[in-house]
Amino acid sequence: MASVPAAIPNRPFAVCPPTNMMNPDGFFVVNMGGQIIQAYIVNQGGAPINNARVYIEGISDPGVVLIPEVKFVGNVPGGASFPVRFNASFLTATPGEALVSFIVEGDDLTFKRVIKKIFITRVDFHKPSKTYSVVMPQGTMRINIHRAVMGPRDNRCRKDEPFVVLPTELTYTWIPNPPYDGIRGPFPYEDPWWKIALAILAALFALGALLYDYFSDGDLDGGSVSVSGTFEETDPSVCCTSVSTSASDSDDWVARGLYSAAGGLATAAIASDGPDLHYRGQEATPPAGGEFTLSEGVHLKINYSVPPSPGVNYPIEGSWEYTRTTTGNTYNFGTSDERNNIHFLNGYEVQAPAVHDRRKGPLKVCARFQKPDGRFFKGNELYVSAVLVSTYGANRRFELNDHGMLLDDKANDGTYCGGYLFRRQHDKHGDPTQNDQPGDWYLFVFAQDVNTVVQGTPPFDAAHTIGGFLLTPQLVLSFNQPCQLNHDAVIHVV
Amino acid sequence: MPIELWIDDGNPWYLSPDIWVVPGNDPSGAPGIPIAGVAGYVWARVHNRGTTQVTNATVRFYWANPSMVITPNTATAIGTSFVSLLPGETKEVLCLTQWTPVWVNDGHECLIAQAFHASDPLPPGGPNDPFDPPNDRHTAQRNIDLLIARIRSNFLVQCFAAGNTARFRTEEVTVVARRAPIETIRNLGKTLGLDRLPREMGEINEFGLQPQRCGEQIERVGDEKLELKLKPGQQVGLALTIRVKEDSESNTGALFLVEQFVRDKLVGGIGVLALGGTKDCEQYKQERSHENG
Repeated sequence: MASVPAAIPNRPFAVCPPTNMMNPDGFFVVNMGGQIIQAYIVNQGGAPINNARVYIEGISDPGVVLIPEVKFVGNVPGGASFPVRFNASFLTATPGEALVSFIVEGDDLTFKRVIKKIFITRVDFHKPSKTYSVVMPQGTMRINIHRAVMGPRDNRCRKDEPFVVLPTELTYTWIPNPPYDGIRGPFPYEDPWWKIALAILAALFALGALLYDYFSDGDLDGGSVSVSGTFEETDPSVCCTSVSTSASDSDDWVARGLYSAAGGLATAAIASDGPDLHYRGQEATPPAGGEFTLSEGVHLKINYSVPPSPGVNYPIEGSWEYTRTTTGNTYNFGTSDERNNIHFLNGYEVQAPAVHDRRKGPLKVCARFQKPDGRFFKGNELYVSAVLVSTYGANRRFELNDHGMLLDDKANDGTYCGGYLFRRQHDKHGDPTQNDQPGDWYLFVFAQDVNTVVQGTPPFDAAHTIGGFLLTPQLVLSFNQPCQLNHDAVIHVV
Repeated sequence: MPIELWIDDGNPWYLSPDIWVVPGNDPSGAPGIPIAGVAGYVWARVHNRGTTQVTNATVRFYWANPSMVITPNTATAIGTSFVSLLPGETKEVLCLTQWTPVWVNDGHECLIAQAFHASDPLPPGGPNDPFDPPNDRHTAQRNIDLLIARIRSNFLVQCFAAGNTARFRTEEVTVVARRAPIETIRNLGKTLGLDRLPREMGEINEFGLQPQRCGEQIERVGDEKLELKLKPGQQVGLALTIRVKEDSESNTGALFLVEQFVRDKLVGGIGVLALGGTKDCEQYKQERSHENG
């Protein structure tokens, strides 16, 4: 009997449950606790896989607590790429690489085991020095935020918790373990860590209430935290004095997800995308023979010439100085850069009915996303999530896929479809408080790019690709005036 | 017959063919004997002999220092996996958490695997109750090591422990060593890391047991049967010593079984395959280590 022709070409990634959005570059974060492990499985055959089932056999890190589950996927067309997602707690995970073993089954086929790497990190905070640190097997990265543009939380300011955080001046120091000779040492995660550490940290700031013991020096005992007071100085300018939106969910998770994405994207735009400044600093400061590098540091100043709204090809300026400290000397290299955010779309369109009758089955939503070069994203190139926000504060989340199954007509045609079945009073879902009320519901469709680096790619090549960034421009940031949160459609539900 | 999970015992039961190790960093690599200091992966073969499909059955993997009586408290968890099985289906289940055998006893360790589900649970037992593979189809144990004759050194020594638990309700423990046909382990196949089973080595008259702490000098062979007095929870270190001929041929071997009895009931055992030839043990294991990356 032939085996299931399944493969998982890309690294499985982390999805934050309350926002249903992918973490920067798909990294799992210990501090975030429960996260979704999502993978795209490709049917490499020409024929359908009938009655496909998928489960996780095991995870190499025993600190990751998986909720075991078999996903019954249905009949998967030839060539289609379908998502599977599993819930797990990472609170006791060990930072580093972990392996996940997926079992893919189909009728009349022998099961297929696919083992993939995932990346796990943890962010600690040292109160006296206001230093964030990320400890990895290959070294420790310490980050000090000297200045940041911060905004209060809407009109519902709570406990001084910032609504948005955009670092403007920071220093990070990488302490390799052990010290290395030559121009550069081993890469953590097959993927230069500094590339995404800043993005992860910036993204986490907006998710403060999700995080466990941010300030605990790694001693996780499970409390929610706030990021206020963890920077040396906050910039007097204020970003987003309030938010202008028609749709606001009661817990603000839609906005939090978007602000998290904005922070991560802005730091990536200047520090990581394109010619990585850390890499350039290393190239420009070759140590003398026999010297070992003890630490590398980058002092970065970011000038947001325009508000860095996600999904927009905005310019961003930065000046930076790289310092290499070796066993025999100190080397410096500094310069200024102007970059552009490269994570944006040429355009996108969302198809949704103006009126939806709950008695006629699920609401169907489709979308297409055009790349800057005019081609359309397709298949597993994007992670597309949607949220419906009611006028009474409830939100309902679902995903759109281009897999030719369920509500999606054809695999890999560039049209992503998904839907939501509204819960009515007479439905047997068991919880009357979870009934969906008729009325206007606001639809947001978010697209994030997926890190498509194939496992085993040399680290330097892998470093050119970062995924998990928001491509759609619903959030419009402003300095000193209200930001805008724009929905993609309004659906009148009857 | 609802869900019925099995990990099969061997014959004798402590030589399960359903548990094996793949040394090295590739879990899909060739099986072999565990190598001290070399990380490897443990596998278990799980069967559902019931008539109902099982989803998300749990498979737990443990290692323990070589001992004939192993309890959850004396074993160390390696990792946990999950398996789904149709009625009558068998799957090989990988423990994705790597296991590195420690240097104690030259890497020889016992492996235990358990498969269970809420609808087919493990029998009740406390942390000090020994694993009971012969009476529990969910649990199996693999307890075998290779010893390789060194040229110019005609003593082969395998250290292990005998033990007692309160559940046995006695302090009288008997440990017996015996030679068994190599054919006994045919069903372990290539999981021993051998291309083929060796031919029977010639007659070996001198083998036996004696109290010993690993590393102590061995000066005699010992007795084939030991009567011990052990309090519940007590363990005692023993050594199996085999005197082989200096010119033992390569591709020959001799299987020895060391078994512990309580009131004539077999409660645990260890298999030791002594191999003839000119390679010494370190050389052999280094070769295996290189082969497995």
